[in-house]
Amino acid sequence: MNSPDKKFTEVASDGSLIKIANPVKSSIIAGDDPNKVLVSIGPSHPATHGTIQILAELDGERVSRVDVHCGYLHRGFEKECEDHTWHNLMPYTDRLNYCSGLINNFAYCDTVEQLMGITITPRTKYIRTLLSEYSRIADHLTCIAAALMEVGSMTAFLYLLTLRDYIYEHLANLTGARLTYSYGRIGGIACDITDSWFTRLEEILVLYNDFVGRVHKLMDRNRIFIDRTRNTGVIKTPEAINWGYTGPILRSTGAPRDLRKDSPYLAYSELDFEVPVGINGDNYDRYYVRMVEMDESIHMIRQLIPIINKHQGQAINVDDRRCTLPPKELVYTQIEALINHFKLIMEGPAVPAGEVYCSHEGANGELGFYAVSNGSGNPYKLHVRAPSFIHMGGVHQMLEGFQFADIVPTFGSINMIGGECDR
Amino acid sequence: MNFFINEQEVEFQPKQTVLQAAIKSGVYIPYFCWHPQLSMSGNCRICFVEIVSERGNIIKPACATEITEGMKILTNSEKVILHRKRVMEMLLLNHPVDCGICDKAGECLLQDYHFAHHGSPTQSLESKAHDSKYHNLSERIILDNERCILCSRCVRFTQEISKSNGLGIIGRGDHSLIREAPDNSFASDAYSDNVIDLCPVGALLSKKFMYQSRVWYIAPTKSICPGCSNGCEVKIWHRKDSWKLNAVSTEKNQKIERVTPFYQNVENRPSNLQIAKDTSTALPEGKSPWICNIGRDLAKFYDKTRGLYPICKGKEINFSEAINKTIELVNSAKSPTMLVSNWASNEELKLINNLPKISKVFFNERDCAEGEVSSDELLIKSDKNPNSKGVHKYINNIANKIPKNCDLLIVFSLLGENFDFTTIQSQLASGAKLILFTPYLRAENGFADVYIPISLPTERNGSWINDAGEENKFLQCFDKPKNVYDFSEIVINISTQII
Repeated sequence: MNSPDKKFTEVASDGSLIKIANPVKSSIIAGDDPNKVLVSIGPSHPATHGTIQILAELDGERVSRVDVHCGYLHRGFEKECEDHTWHNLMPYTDRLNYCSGLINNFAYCDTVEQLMGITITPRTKYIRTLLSEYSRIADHLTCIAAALMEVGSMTAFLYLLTLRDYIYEHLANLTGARLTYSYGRIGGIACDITDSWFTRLEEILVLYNDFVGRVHKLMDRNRIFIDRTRNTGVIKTPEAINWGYTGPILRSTGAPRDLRKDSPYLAYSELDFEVPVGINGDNYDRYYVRMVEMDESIHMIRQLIPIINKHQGQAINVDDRRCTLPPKELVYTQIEALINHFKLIMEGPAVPAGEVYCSHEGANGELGFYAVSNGSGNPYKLHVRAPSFIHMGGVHQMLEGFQFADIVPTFGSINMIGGECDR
Repeated sequence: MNFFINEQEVEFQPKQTVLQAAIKSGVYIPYFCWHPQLSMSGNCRICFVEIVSERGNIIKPACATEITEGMKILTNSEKVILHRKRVMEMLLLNHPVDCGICDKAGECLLQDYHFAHHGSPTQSLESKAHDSKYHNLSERIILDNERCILCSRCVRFTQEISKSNGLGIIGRGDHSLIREAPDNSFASDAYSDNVIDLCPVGALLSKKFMYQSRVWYIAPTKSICPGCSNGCEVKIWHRKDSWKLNAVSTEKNQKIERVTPFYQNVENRPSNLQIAKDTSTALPEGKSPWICNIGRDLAKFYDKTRGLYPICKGKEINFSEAINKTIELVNSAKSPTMLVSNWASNEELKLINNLPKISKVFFNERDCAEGEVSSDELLIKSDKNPNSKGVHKYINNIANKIPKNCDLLIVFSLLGENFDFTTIQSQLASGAKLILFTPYLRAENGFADVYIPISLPTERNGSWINDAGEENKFLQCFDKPKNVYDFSEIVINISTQII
């Protein structure tokens, strides 16, 4: 058992064996140290919620070393995109971070629009901002609910998921789907928001105060919860930045970094909001930062509703035939519209040659798309900088040195989404 | 001598037009009616350019404007863009809403130019003018007058290239129509199908290809027409791998959907399209952009029922048994003779030449059929086989007749038309054996001592030598049927075991 894996050793010039990294196998091998126990969690384990394997080397109850493997989901997102038109790959972006599909949609659309030099209409800009924040709430609700359930708080879990379900049903009413919306369009959105949708939105904002208020009361000063989460899964700002952390995890360490403030996109420069930060970078901070971020999102939504209503009746799609589909009734009756429709569907939007990197503040951190066009209807290359994938690179930092029982709550507070780890 | 396109200095030859010089220097100017091989007509007006002049700039069609020293041309000025838009608006005024049912959709110049240069909804409130939609120009070609933009490319082709004068324009103005000449000369035009490729819109359509496949389901593979020794390079269009059918109509996966000339002009396609980037098919000096109707129909040479298993005296056997039997027959014969097809590829011929013991006899696969053009100045050659030159080049000491003492005849035939079992048998001594290599299922296969099915030229790579002595490659379009082998594999198998 103790012999090094021969396949992954190399003989150096002085005759000694050098261990080389095995791309598939873990560097932690059972039996390496007789005083330690190796425990493998996942890739199919209810507490990992996501196909991920955590190999933990235990020294008693303490985790001494951790190796995280996130390569179990492979849909080939980036390669598949090269074979689809700029429009056709929209449903794939839904499935990156599927807890907040709309943010992915809009970040991708923004990337292509920058390549094409398109400015979206004001109404669309505000609708996209509102829906991004609405999605962020749904995403944070999911993360917090799961993280609380993992430390035993079933009541908070049910409160939060009830609220999340109101939001999902509400979004399904607008987009036709609870999760995979495909609501973004290059140069606009799929359909306009109706007045009745806003009526329900007001109701949900009231429900939000009710449900989230109860969770605040249940958890914030709960002695058991604080004991369980304070000073566990700690990461400090320098390490977090070194490992490429962004989003709530980085902010929980005290660094007020947020793309909505640092490089404002959509309508964020016009909105009043704060960037909440933690002090310690532990599980409690990550819980609390997300809770406050949701409040900020609600604050933004309340500002956006009157602005959107002010732009009532405005076009939602840009008037640009390179990307916007003509109205269906004209496609059936006019050759001019039919040809435009045909070219957009069969050959894809005419995106000029060039490359661009564009990033939005996703619910988990910086969600960036790097797109290269050679002038044809398909992307030549589409790379996604998905926060969860980057976070998985340094997650062992937050697990090593803590108790074995902290693995699950810490992992829950990171909010790893398998769809984003797809490579 | 120099002039300026978009403020770039460009060289030109005397008598050259703006369009010709622009194409040569890689500047994009759209055109419908003009064609590099045809005379100038100047009727479509889409190639408008702006000429900078001290007396005020003027708009002129690039195809009809001869260059003068120091002339300044703009191809993308506001004025030019506006004029192109207006021209497209005019051309689409009466165009039917047909893309969904039009065979040309997907490779149509009208679609490309509308998307690139116009794109706006119509301003017309009038109803569209209607015309004949299914006019038979000949047995092969159908004309949709509603789609026709009257560019007259097809008319000029029959006047200048095929010289049949088979097409003309009747009527005036709004009532103009392309019609066939009353003497029926278009029906006998051996090059008539080229007007289908020439047509920039979906007006002229092949009856054979009509509604057979959408163009985005098919892809071309470079091949050579075996119809005569001119060996025209062609594109064989067949179903794309990604669109292969799995359940219904799977025979379409193996079908030659259409045949077009290999060389085409793509310089007038908007530059964002894939087709515009494909420079491999740009017409080189001395090559022809046309093919004859025999080439369009080359599928019929190959489209016959295939033999799918070896047969020994009417009994099905497996491949290795058949090879053993063949070797046994060759080894026991005194003077084995092989008929060598002039459809064989050079690669096969080189291998056949190395076969010991067996004497080789030239076998002419195809003669001029009834009603077929024997030869002309344009393309068609009198030798109706692709590789007669190759047989004479690669096979040493080839005989023209089967020797009298032949007691084993090996027939290698890729077309099978000229192979007549009874005549051949009468030329042989009594008790002579027969080994047959042909791709097709025929009654004679049962009489042969050994019959082994072989692959078609469309199922492998190879090369043929044409009349001018050029060696041209053809590429594999389809997979071979199961248990069918290339003849070259069989020859390699046999040659080492002949004593």
